[in-house]
Amino acid sequence: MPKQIPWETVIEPALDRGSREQKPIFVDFWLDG
Amino acid sequence: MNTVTYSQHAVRDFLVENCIPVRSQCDFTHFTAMMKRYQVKWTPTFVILDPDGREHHRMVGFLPPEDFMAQVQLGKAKLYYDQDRLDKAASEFQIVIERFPKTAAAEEAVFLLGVAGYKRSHQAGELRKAWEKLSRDYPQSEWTRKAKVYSTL
Repeated sequence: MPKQIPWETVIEPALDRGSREQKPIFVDFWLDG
Repeated sequence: MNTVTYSQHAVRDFLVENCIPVRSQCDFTHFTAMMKRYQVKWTPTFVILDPDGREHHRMVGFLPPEDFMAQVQLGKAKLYYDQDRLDKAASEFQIVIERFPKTAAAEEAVFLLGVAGYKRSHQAGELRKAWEKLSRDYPQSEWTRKAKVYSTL
């Protein structure tokens, strides 16, 4: 089994991480099921 | 996306290396704050944001692994392009072209690489080079039609 993608689920901490790590933020708007 | 694209090692590694990956659950009966903030009308929708939350690239609809990674890479390049970090943008556009040459993202990357080159150098030849590559490698592309005006430079 491949390793899972470590998804963030809340945007603000992800934006903070993007700032710290100098990375873009990729958001997948998805529908379960 | 889970079964075909996100299940691939290469996609997982690519996302982790290049981005902060976020998943936002949609609800079309009660639109979430994130759906309203980014005007999401369909799934899957993917956006590339800078750390201030500004959008720089959007994709709507399923993407197989190669096209998916190419679009994410293109989004990364466009973020730098929008910020006028043109050297960085140019190197990221070049990665799209070299690593994912058979994707639609590569066509747009060739066009924008030409524009970024022109903005850096003020040499019209950068735009003509973009048209030459587009007309040679992607003759049917909409980006080739958009670049045709540069053919006489």
